[in-house]
Amino acid sequence: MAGITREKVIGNSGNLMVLLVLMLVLFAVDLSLGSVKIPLSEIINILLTGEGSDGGNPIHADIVRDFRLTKALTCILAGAALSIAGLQMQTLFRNALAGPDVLGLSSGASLAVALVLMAPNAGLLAQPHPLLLATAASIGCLAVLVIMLLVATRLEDHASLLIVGLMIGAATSSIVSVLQFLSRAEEMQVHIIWTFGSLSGLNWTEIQILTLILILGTALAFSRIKALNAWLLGDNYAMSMGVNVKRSRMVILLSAAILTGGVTAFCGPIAFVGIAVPHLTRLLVNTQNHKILVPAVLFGGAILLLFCDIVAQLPHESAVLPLNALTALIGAPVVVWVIVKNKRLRM
Amino acid sequence: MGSERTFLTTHNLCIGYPAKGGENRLLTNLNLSLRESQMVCFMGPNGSGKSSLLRTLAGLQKPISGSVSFPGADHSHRVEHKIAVVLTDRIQAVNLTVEEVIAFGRYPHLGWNITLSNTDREHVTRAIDQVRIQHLLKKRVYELSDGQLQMVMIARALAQDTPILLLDEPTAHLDLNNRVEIMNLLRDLSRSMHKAILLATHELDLALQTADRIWLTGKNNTILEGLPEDLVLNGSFDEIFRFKGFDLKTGKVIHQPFRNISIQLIGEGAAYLWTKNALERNGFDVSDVRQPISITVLSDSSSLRWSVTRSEGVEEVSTIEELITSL
Repeated sequence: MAGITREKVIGNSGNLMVLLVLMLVLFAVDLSLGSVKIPLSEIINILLTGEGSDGGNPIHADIVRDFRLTKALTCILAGAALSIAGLQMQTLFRNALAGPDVLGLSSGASLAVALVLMAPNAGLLAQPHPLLLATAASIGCLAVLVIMLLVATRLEDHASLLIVGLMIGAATSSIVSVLQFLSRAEEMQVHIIWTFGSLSGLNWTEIQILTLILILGTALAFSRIKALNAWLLGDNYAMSMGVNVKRSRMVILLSAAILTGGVTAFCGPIAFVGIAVPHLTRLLVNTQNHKILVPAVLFGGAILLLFCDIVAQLPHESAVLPLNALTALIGAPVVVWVIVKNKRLRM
Repeated sequence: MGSERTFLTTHNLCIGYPAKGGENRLLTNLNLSLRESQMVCFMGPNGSGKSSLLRTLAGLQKPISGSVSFPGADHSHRVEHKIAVVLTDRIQAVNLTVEEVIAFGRYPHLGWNITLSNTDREHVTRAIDQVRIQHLLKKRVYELSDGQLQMVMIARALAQDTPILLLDEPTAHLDLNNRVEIMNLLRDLSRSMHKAILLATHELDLALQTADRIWLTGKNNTILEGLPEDLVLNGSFDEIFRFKGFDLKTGKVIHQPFRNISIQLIGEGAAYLWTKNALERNGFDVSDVRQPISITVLSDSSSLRWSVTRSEGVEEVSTIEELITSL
């Protein structure tokens, strides 16, 4: 008995190592790709010293540091954050289709951004500052988060909460549609481009904020792995095992909300990652234990976004493809193949 | 008898749930106790509040008034260290392994990072041994039969290492063999582990034969409590269940002798009882005294035969089917 458990832990630690190594490899590949060709040795040198080598082009250092490195780090941070949020929502709602967007946070952010872009006064800005969009998106997420937390204190069961989240999403989306109908084409285009999601264009301050958000959200999720595991047997069993179900639910909602909200604020609504990564990861680690799943999903999310970003650059044009068009295009067939092959969701 | 410790008592407990314009009181004025090494079967019609009481005792639901206390509480007052439950809730995470499910029983004893110590592992192993499901350890929940899953959930509750075990209809949807196995297992556990076991059940016959005490709901929103035999003889069961066509005192379904034919039956043992059953089921009145028709069960070591004596003569048959046809 003891032996079996220990073997399994070792097996899963091995899987975690595989994921970590894969993430680092993709990180390196992502750094080396781009419209300007920079040798790998020079990239390593730039990363280590912060400067280009003597013989190298000083512009290369700027490209790697302020463009490629920020983008690759954003892939890791956003992928990890969205996937952990998705895992928490799937466990909390016991629903394989739940993802970070079920709380309506992305829709809230979308509405706030739409208001900023399309409301007559704000629409005067020809090229809205990215930070303005980020602020608007954060406020939108936060507003929905407060509504959801208030509803959560009143509603006992998770399914009702799920429906409330979806309804908020539906309502905000329809307001966005109305705004789109009333707005001019140029304003609408800016909004639509925002909804495509983007991993580039974050500055170092924003990356620091996103890092803090990921650390905080992951720490909150980790502090509740006992509750997340116990929930697998249902609310009543969880309570009978001494889990404070109400408080744990609040902590998990808060964690998922800041993770999703943070990413949406800076990168726009990135679809699909949050739903797909937990399923893909469970196939590799094949466990329900959140002590393994949380870190595994963290690496898995980073890997998926790095991979998508690499594919987005493969055409080798200066223009990269929109991210949201790619995540689902790459991820959906994989998930379908995996489910058909296994005939059963590993929930 | 009488030296067992009391593990749980209720004081003027009133249970139910909030409803429009007040509350819906299901059971009121409960002063009950659960004692060491005792198996109590909790019976009553559907909707009489059995599950609600179990949930209230286990701290999953707030009482409307009154309280539940644990007199023997030595070092911990936390309910999860006192009571383990087996509920009717379906397990939706069907990809869990049996081993993982049982290890959940140790959660009340673990910190936030849920690392099993050697002591925890010993408790898990012991629970598995007690329920004798070593062969199921590596299976996943979706591979188990209903009976196997119930055994796993009982093992999980045992691993929690609590003095009290509450089970909500643990034998529902199981076949006879599994039902008997689970009832016997629970009775043995109450003796060998000195646990107080309370199970809500509809298994009247099994409960009467295995329970140390019976709690009976259904009259004036309170609970009648006593030895099973006393409750049978004083008519409490009849009053509450209002049996239709079942005589509890003999443990038999009541048959109407609609054929108006009386038959004398002579014999002994199982063959006698089953012959009587077949005759009564087919509407004959079976009697011990001399009647126009008389049947004798002839059993020797190798075979069973029946001889039917009528005014016309004597006939011998070798199965009950032939016997019934000949009548």
